[in-house]
Amino acid sequence: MSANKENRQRPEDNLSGTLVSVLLLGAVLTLSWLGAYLIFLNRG
Amino acid sequence: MIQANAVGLSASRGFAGFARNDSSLVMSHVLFAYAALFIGGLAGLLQGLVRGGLITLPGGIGYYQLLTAHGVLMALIFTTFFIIGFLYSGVARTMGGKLLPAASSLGWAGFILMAAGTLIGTVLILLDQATVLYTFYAPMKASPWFYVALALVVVGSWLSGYGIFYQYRQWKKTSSEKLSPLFAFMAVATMLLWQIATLGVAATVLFQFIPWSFGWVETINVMISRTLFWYFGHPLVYFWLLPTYMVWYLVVPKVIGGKVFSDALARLAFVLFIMFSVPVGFHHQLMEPAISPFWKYVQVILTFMVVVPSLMTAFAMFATFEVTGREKGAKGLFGWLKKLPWGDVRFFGPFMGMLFFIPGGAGGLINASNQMNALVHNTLFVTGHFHMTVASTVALTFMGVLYWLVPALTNRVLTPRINRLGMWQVGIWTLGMVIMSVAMHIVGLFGAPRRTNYTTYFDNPAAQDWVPYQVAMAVGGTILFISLLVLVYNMILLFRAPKGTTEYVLAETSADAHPTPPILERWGLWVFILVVLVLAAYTIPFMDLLNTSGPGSKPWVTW
Amino acid sequence: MHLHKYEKIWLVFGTAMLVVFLAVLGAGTFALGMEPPGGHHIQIDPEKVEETPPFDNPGLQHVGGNIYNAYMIAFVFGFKPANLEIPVGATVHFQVTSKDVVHGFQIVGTNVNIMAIPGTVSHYTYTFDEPGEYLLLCNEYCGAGHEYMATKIIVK
Repeated sequence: MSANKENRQRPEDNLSGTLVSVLLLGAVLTLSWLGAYLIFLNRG
Repeated sequence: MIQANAVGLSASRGFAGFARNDSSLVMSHVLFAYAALFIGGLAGLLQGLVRGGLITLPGGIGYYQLLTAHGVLMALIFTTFFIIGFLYSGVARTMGGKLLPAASSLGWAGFILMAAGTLIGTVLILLDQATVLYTFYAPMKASPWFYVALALVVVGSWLSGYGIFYQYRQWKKTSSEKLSPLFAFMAVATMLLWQIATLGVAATVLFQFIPWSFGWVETINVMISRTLFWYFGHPLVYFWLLPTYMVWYLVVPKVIGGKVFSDALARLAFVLFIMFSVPVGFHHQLMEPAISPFWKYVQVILTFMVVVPSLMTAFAMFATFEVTGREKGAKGLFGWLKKLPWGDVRFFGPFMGMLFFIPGGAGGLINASNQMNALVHNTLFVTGHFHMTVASTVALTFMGVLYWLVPALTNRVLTPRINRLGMWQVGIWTLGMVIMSVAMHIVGLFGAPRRTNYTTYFDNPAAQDWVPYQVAMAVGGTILFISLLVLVYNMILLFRAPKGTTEYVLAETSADAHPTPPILERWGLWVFILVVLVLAAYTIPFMDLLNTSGPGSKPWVTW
Repeated sequence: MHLHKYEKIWLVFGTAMLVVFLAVLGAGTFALGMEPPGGHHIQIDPEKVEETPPFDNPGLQHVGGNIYNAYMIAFVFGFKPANLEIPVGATVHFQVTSKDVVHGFQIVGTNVNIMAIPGTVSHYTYTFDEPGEYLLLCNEYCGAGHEYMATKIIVK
């Protein structure tokens, strides 16, 4: 249903700020998880 | 503006205001919710001061009674009542402008049952007959009427859900539109999830706790009761999160002057939540015996899958801000930040909620990480986590809604003064929560237990090291309570504000948006997949618990 | 359904991050012996704990070399035995149950953090490399005396 309409859709939005923001979010999630994991290993 | 009279099902475009009955129904839920928040908040303040070693409680009330009241009123009552009230307001608004008689009756019936259950339960807690905390773990036994009160709240909420389902079904039958309004879709998804999730707590309360506490059966299977509770306890947090996301997807874009970023992806996220929020309860039971590491790990995998729709939501939020900002002329990577209406409490509340969800979500990932849970289980780290999520992300979003919902329901105006006071209220809450929950996360990593009265364990040095953090928690908690006082003041001002029209804030989908696949609305399909996942994740370990159960436990009253 | 190319990138990255976390956790659990407690399904009558071996003789039991079993009972409001002494460097297989309500069993500063549930026995293994006095406390609300429910584990 969506395939034919694609050609008539508006051009892709500029979401470069969004991409950087979510990648920063991903970095926060990763770093905090790693930090906790290292404490866990250290106490093991 | 004159309030609406009879509005046909198809006339939702010319919304002229809420019908008096509908406004009363929603307002009853909102006021009950915020009364619960205030009383629960008072309990929380006292707990914080006690645990900081700053006060001792006056005779007649115990720490664990306060804690039980705090948990029940905050996590079950404030949330459920506000959510149902908010959903009814949007259901009325988007599907005909007015509730159908049957939907309204079900809404009122639900409210009455839930309110009755809440009042009975609260009285029993204050009478020290139910000092079992909001998780009421067996084999601690409260008064049987406490479990009856819980059952009333749950069954009441089912009726509330049926009212929403009814209005939705009638709308679908009579409307010429192919897609349901996004609010309605999300409301149905939320209550559908709730109906399925509460089956677990209803089963344990109706078939285990009530017969056992009345003395009709002698023993209770503790592991089964815990497993049924946590089957409910995890999707409970999504019951809170989904309406929060509804505000983010539907209200916030309008407040900032934009449109819904993607109707299809928003619906997809909610469908993913329906499927993956339920078969994950074991991540609350990771440190328990009798459930194998294999099945714990299976449910941890499913838990991580439910993170995905939140990752989608994060993208959608930033994208909404950026698209709207660029439409207003923003340039550069982050120019859109300057275009956001920072001084509008209807934006600021939910936005601070979004910010809190970053550390909140990070903590959640850590908590759910299988063997790593040993680091944080039952420590104040967990308490810090849920104060950053339900008590910040969810609460701040709901508070932000209050400031336009109350005027919209009462045909009054959100004045600039109330808006400014609202900004203060949100800011004070934020400050208090940062201090309190950061302290909780840190002291939790040092081993401080949650759900525990002030103690140094007979001057144990490790425990004494925790006290300064607990003092910080008391400071944070006090600041939070000040925010509640400001909130009460603002509510009074809202009820005395000048008459006028306040918009019921809902964003539209852009006209050239990519189409939404109708399969997303095939509820039967998604529920079927959910049932398959639940059976896959739970059947074998649950049967295992049933087959290896011993004689069970007799009741204990240890307080 | 249409996804912006950046959303595709984000979801691939995000999912990959989650998969990596799960792989690390899975390897730890199933290959490196770091599993969470559970799975042994040992039943015990909560009313007869103190008569049921091995809990009729709670405490440290030498298995061989540096390996010990520690049989412990949680109750309102304490642990039996109190002030357990463990030789430094010992690998201890904790086996814990409750005589009454659900209790926590947390040794502060270690990863020993398990639930003592009446009717079942919990297992967790820990090696005490560092000497000292460890606080063992109950971190699951169990009644009026919950905040006093603690003892020491003495490693020397």
